[in-house]
Amino acid sequence: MNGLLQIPALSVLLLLPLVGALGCLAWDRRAAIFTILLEVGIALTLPSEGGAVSSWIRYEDWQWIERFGARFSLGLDGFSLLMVWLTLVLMAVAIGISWFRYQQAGFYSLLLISCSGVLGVFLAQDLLLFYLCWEIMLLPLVLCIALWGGTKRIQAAFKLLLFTLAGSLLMLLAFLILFLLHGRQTGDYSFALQAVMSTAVPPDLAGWLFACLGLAFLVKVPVVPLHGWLPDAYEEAPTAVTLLLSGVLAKAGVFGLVRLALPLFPATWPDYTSLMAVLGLVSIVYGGWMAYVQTDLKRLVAYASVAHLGFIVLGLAAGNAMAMQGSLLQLFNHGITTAALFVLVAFVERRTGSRKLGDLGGLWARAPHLGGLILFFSLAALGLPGLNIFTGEILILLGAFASRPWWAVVGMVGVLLAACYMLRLVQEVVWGEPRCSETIADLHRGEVALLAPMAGLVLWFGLYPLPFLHLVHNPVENMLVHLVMKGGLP
Amino acid sequence: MTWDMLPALLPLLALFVGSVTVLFLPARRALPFGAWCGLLVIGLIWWPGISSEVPAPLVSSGGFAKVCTTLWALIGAATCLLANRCCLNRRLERREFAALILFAVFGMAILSASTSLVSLFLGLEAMTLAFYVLVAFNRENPTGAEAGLKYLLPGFLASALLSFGIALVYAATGSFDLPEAVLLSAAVAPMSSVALLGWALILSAAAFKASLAPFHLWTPDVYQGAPSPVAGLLASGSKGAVIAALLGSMPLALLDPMRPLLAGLAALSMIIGTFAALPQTNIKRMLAYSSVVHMGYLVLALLADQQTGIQAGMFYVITYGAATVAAFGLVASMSDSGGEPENYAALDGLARRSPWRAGLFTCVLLSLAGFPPLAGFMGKFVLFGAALESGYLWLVILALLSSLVSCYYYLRPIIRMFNVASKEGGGAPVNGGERLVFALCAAVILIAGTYPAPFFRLVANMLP
Repeated sequence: MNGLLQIPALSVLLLLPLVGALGCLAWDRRAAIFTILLEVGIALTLPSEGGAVSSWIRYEDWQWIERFGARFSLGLDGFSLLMVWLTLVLMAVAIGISWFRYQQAGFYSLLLISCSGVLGVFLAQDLLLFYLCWEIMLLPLVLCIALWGGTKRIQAAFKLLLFTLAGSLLMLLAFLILFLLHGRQTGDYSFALQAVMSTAVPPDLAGWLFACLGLAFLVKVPVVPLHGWLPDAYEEAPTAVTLLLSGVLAKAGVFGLVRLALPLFPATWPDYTSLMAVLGLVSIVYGGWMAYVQTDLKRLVAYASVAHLGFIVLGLAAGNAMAMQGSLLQLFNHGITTAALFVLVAFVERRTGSRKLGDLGGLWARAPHLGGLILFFSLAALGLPGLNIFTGEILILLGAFASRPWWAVVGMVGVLLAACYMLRLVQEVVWGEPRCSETIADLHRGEVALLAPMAGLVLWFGLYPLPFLHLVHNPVENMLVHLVMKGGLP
Repeated sequence: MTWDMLPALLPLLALFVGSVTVLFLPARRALPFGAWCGLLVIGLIWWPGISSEVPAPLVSSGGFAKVCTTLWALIGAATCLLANRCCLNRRLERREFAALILFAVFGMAILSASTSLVSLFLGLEAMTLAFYVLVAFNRENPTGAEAGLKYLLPGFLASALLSFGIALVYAATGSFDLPEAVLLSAAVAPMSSVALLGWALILSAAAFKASLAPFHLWTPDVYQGAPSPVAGLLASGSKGAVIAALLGSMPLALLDPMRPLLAGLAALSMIIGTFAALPQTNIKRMLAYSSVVHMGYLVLALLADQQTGIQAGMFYVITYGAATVAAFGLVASMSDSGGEPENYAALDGLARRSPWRAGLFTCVLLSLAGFPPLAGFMGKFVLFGAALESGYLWLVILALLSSLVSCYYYLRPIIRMFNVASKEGGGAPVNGGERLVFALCAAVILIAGTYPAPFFRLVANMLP
């Protein structure tokens, strides 16, 4: 498909936030709202234009840097479409929740720049473009934390930056080496993903390169031994940034694993699946355990998020169609649920001035809508059947059981732990006696409007996930075929 | 020397004549004249009517020399425009200032175009001579005098090393010609060890000028004491010219024994520069140490294969030059009669007081740190790619590590600028000349980062 013959929707989608960011600075922060509405509009028209049967729904390709064979090529398939939707929903929520809190246009401008980077990561079909977007998505959020965060914001921002930048520099190194290898083998120096995928990497080098990419992506997720940046960054960041970090950037990490690490090194992938599964399981158990002992509400949700991301990594490691579909679906589910929980934590904090579990309680009696929504999203997060997290988790666990039973057994422990920490949250915050006497306001209409669509998505994905499973069906099949063809799987 | 060599020498002559003429102009015309003179030189280089068929002796007039001279003339013109404010504030002599800047550019142009060890020496000395005066131009500033002395002494040492090195090379190979002398000493020189010693001495002289560790000790003090526009010219132009000379006419990497020396210089510069920059709280000193690191990166281009090395290295020089000129220009544009805002504390709340300056400064520092999508990233990317291609994996890993750490010292001033709790009092408004320079630098930083193809075409012209 030639991008010249029709409106280059993907390029517009990618570049519009940058224009919006300029608009914020030059005109007013209201430009951010117009931008995000336009973006959502474009994203909703995307699937109707192409058949979901072919591997690409849309593909756009432009000249960029001839000297290095880097092209501005964007591709959209079912999986990236799901991620684009998630990004835009969460970006809209992030802008909405910050609206009355932060007046500076610069904040919204940074959020939009980051949005552009994230969309680029989900769409890029060129390694250099991917790397560029990977960095663009991070830096604005780091600046947001450093400028608008809590009391220890500078340390938190630097920690986040150094951890993730260390990973992404490794990624850059791996890309450069691949680029040179490919150029030497074929004489065609190119960064295009499709071209580089065909490179024959010497086996001893492949392990190293895969490790570089894996580290870069797993830091961003993060899985447990690499999560050092997470508690501080999540706690100090403004709510909008926290929900983007957990809801979108973490997904970009998994996306990178699926879209780059796996297709580039299909032969190396099986060697690392056990390690990845162990990392996933450790994240599930450790994250769950840490969530259970937290006294700060935001930290609790942060560790819960780590535990849920562990499931996703486990599903990828299991390596069969069911688990992988579950993982990809779970990316969306987890994004929505965790973001909603962070939003609710922010609402609670605004009303009571505290995030400590000991200071809260009795919300149900005083603010029934708020309490009800907390209960609803907590139940979703602990995996109640009929709500969205359950769909993904059950697929992942079934798939994992099919490939290695004991993985699923340990994973089940995580589900149990989820029930423990989530019910503890509900018990301490929603039920019980109010610990302070003053009355608090219930949710107003704007806040409900922010959460209602997310609640709707939770129900939709919980009750009727089939259309979305169809979306990720083809990408998963392609991946598995690629794995089998390149000698990765038996 | 005959008349038909004139077209080849015209840009150099214009620079020289300009630097003399400016002394006889009224003081208020001097700096604008310097800037126009720079533009005139660029016009003379690229005017299609003036073609230079007959090569001049000692200096080349090929694509490499053309682009280099253009760059230095642009940087010189920018320096003239930026210097206006600080000359007025401090009541410095504008005529001499402009004349010396043009003379320094003249030296740089000879240096980067040199095809002989003689012109290499002449160019380096002409450039350095002008800088001896420029660095200490503000006599009332005590650090200025100190800086002048600190530039003078290593400068003399470097000259001595250079002339001795040239003598040794000539004794060993019997040729002043570049790059013939290098090739001769690589292959058939009867006294190859003497030649190698000579080259090592020449390299160390160049390392002094480019402030590669361990020859960098003068850098922070000189940057701190010199007027900011001069420091900008020193950092971008003079170092760039030295690197360009090494890239274009002295392929030292062809001599196998020089490779470990070059690699060692690069590694040391990256490590020492990075760690020395971390604790700085003075912008100019931080930029000085960061320039040591950047010069360390640029040595990677010297180590690479010459074709890719020239392209990667000169692209990096362009991106680094734009960022450095803008950074020092910003410091200069915020100066008042009390002096320049050198400490990070002076940047507190700049975003509120002067948002455009803060925005540009942020861009510049992020570009220096190598964040995409700014020019610095693209520069590092091509440079590290070139080094990887010639097999220097360990140096590339070291460079990546040092750019990781460098984020810390580049981000610190940025965070100070956007600090909300700030003191009041806006800076002086940006004047026309400064606005022009800043817009140009910002354009280079943004375009070279997002759509670098035109720049790559430009540097591809430079190949012999």
